[in-house]
Amino acid sequence: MELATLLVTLFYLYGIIGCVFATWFVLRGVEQLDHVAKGISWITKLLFFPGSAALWPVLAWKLMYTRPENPANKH
Amino acid sequence: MALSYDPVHWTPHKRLYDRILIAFIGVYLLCFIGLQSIFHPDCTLETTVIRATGTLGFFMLHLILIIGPLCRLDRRFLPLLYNRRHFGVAMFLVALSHGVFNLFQFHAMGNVDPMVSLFTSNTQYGSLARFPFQALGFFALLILFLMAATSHDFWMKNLGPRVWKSLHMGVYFAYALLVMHVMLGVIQLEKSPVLIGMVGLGMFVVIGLHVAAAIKQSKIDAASERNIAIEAGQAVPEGFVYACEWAEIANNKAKMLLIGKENIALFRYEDKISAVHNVCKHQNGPLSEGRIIDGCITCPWHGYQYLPENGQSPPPFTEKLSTYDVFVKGTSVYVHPSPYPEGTQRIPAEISMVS
Repeated sequence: MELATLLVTLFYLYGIIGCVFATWFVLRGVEQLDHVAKGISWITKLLFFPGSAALWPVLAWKLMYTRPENPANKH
Repeated sequence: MALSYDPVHWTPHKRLYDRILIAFIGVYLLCFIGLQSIFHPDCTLETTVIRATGTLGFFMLHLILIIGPLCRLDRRFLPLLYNRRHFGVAMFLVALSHGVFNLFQFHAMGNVDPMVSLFTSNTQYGSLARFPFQALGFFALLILFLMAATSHDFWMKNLGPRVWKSLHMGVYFAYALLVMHVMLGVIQLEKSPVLIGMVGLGMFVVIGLHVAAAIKQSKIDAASERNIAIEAGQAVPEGFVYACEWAEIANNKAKMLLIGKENIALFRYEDKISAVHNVCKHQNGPLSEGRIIDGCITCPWHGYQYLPENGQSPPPFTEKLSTYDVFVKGTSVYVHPSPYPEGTQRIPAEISMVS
């Protein structure tokens, strides 16, 4: 029971941090990471929210250690 | 193709696909609830909804898993593949509603946190037959959530095709967890041989179709290698290997070749033949299963386009494929399996000049 409570608490903590990060990410971070996302609609940005909340360590790492790409046209 | 991200790149096909999908979900749920009320009138509405969404989600997952091998076995199934991501997201939403209803029905009424209750209400983790099957469903749902949440092109681009593909191959792990989830649930609660038989039949179909598709592909690869060996002695420029007769390729369509490690798509169009790398830059789609539309090779999965002569996406897009030299002698087509750098212009082989 204690182990389950600890793991579930960590799960909640991960999710809460993820939600806070995802809020910032869809507001600002997404355009820093990917120039194609500049000026996209709010509905599209909201679609990125669940994935950002779940994969926040990956996105945080990419934002910290990946250089911004050249704004060349892509599909 | 797009220069920006949209929620969905709508096409008439996608709209039709989604309408059929929503209608199927609605009809299934109504039929299930109707039949349940007739044959199990003592069931509560919550239990009925849990059963309806659980069976529907599991059935949809089977359909999703067999679309890929079905398309390999028969190209007529390809339209099912073109909007499979919406099918996957819909399946996740059905599975999520099953999970949420379960959590409220069985774990939210006490004084223990519902998630803690999920993992501690049955603690027989050492028993095979009495293993807490709901925990398996939870982990499967987590995988399906990750897949649904990252189904947009944004994630494919920013995670990278390899990571994205690996993540989405997790569907097979989720399927294994769900088979155990359902089997254990049936054994512990229902004890119905019919239900066990249906789960077994589903597994048999999924595994059988994957094996059949793999056997067909290996036969195609072997035939391609045999043709290369048979024709190797013909007088053609050095390094070229026999691919096929040009009449074997329908106009504006392609033939897939596997020469050594090179996966090549050989396209015929306007009495010309060009060869490019067979893997789309978008999501590794099989370009040879696409066709030439408006002068461009068009990927069957999401419509990404490339010019056949140089493998470049038409401006302003910048995706590029490797290209290959093609040589036509008589009615035979030969390909040099050494790829040129992505986007290199090559002169197409003319089949109208065949003597």
